[in-house]
Amino acid sequence: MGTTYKQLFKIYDLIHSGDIRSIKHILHNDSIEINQILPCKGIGILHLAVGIDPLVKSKECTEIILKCGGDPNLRNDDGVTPVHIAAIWGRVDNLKLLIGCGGDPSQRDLDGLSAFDYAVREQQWDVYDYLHNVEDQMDDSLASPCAYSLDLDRILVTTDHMVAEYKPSNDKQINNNANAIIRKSEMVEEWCDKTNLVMNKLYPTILSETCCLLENEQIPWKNDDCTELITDSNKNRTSQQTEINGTNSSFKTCLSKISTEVEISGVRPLDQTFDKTKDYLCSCTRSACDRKQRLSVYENFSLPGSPKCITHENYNTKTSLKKCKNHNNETAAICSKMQRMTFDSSQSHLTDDRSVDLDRALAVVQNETNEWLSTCSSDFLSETRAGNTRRSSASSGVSSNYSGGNIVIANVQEEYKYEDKDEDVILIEKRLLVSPVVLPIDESDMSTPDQTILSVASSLPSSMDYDVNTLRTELIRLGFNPGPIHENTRTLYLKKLQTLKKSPIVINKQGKTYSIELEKSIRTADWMKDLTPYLELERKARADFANPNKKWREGTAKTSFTYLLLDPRLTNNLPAKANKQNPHEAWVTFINSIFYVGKGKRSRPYSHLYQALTLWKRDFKTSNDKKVQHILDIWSDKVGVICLHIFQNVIPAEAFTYEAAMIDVLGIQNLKNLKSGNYYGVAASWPLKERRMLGLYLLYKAMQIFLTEGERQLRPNDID
Amino acid sequence: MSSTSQKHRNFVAEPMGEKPVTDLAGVGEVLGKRLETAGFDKAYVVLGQFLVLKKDKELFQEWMKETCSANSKQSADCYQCLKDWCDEFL
Repeated sequence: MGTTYKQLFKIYDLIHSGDIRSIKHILHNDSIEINQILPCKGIGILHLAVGIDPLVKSKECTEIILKCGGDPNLRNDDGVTPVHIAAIWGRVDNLKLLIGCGGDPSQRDLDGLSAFDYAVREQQWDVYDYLHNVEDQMDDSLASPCAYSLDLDRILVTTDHMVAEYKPSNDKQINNNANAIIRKSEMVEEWCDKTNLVMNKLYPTILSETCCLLENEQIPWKNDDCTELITDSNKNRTSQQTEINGTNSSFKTCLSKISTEVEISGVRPLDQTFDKTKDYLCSCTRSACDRKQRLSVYENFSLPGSPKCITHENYNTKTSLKKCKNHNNETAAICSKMQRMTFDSSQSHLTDDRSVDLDRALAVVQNETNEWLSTCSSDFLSETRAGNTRRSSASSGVSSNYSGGNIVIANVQEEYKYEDKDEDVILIEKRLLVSPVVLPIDESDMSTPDQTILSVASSLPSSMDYDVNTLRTELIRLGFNPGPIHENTRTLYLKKLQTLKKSPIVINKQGKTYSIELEKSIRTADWMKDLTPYLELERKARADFANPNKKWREGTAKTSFTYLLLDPRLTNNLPAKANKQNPHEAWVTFINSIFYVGKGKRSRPYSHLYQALTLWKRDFKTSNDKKVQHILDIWSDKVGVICLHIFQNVIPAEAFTYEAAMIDVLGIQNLKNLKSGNYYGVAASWPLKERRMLGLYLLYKAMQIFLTEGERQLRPNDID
Repeated sequence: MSSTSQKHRNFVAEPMGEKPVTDLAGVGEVLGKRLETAGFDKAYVVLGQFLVLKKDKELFQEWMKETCSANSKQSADCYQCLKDWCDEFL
């Protein structure tokens, strides 16, 4: 104990002198119990760090100590915590850190004063404002102006085989707010130079086969038409194809080919070449003209980082194509087809609708070889993979119909940049469209995928050629964590894989027990058939809030909403696969993925992420605040938090009530919320059961909204 | 949980040492023979397999079924036996 104090006093002095490096050194190398009040001084080192001059040093010290586990709520003998000190001295930045790390601004010292009171007493209005925000007590009726901007950043189109990215071109960006249609002609950007893989450049792509083009007059692809995407309508995706307007035509379109040398299309050499594929490509090109004989190049990337072993198969009949498709899907290999499509030839097929500037052809690697992907540290890759695995699990069967000669699914993601200048916050919002763009395909193809999956799944031999790595990758992708795979266990895991493919793991409840009402709803789906009792409850609650004569907490401005934070690692792009799932499964997944219920207001829709962002920017990976911690975890996994805003434009009291009802039905122990909410209006007089029923119904509605709206993932701008 | 057999309790009561595979609950003479032919002569070899499968019930039962055509009751007993043993001694 004595030595600890000695060390602490040493740090104390170092903080005084502002010797950051030494402090770091000591804290990192020695394990010191830093959350102690120093005798004589009467404060802990965090207290000191928060209050010293100059500001910069203070901030750094605070940061270091918090990172090393400093407790922002450490009380000295007078009950004063570092949070109090930050408030007294007006250290807003420090305060943000402290609160982000779990500091409690409402804690009172022995004089009965909270950080709030001190802020007022010391006239630290910055602090006061900030605390107000944190406490979420600001009155919306002050009609605070819109404090953020939301701009389209880019659009990603992904399929199993490629990714295309669109960016608004700079000169047009000015128009963003004006709701003007932005031409995206030059918005293509090279964006993954970092990866020394083949996919160093990506362009909007057209991936189609000549014969396929003949069959489908339009290019079965959405991505050339960006005007529609920009207009921000998530609907009408399918209509875009036809609404192409001539002025928008100068997109850089290109062929895409998985990890193949693009010299074949005479455009651009790549960093890595796979010579072997060239020959196949040529033959592929030749036979592509023959509509009856469809040929696909099948590449099996069985080993991470060694994508050179290629198996090449030639399928002539439709059925075998399907086999190939499933095989492809399962082995997580890359099935690729090269379409040689010169500018001229495509023109001739396409001029009806558009003129396509096919001036670039680049190879794109995009595949399911997760291991291979994950060996590449590039940010882009992980993102691609996320999209990729999601889709393939979501739409298994359909997603790879493509090898039958048609392209089936393209996922469209829009990325918006959310900027709050006052708070210096930038978030990227990724919107995943609900329905992946389904491209026109043969009727026969459309109707069969399920059967073919089954038929393959039921026969073991077809998957016998899995090697250990792909098997492992595939199992992991399906959410199963296999043990060592060797001769003794291999067949077991193969069987496991098949069962998993047949019936994907419904995310288990992970030990959560919800309220009785919710548990019941999870057990059977019957309640969804008759919602009248719920409707009645909701109507009653709503009617009460509509009464303008009552005086409500925080006024009657209809600027509030309730939000749910969902974990994208659990939802797996639920909206996209929901129509293929039964509603009950979707419901369970949805419920399980919720980790926070809150109330927000329109002026700053994402303010609940600010705390986490403040920490994130300073490289914190841990926080005492469970919610912040969870958000940081999600971001660390390179995905964004799904933020579902529901029940927009209600008065604050109503939003609070809805929040409380949903918290109650989910059970606070299953959420990262600190406290259960408050009920207002008539709902406050209801028995718990009815409140929970209301909550259940609200959640149900929330799910409907989620499924229609699609996933919107929010992440800081330094995660890609 | 349903009550466990005497065999189960005996097995779980002490470290398995060099016990034969037939000492496992759910493994009688017939299954024991089959397991021995498959190379699993001692209980600890089965334990090895059990651990390699990460104590996954489903996989372990599947494995039992494959190696010695155990029925689900037998394999469940054996699984539970090893599981309890691990909880106790591992």
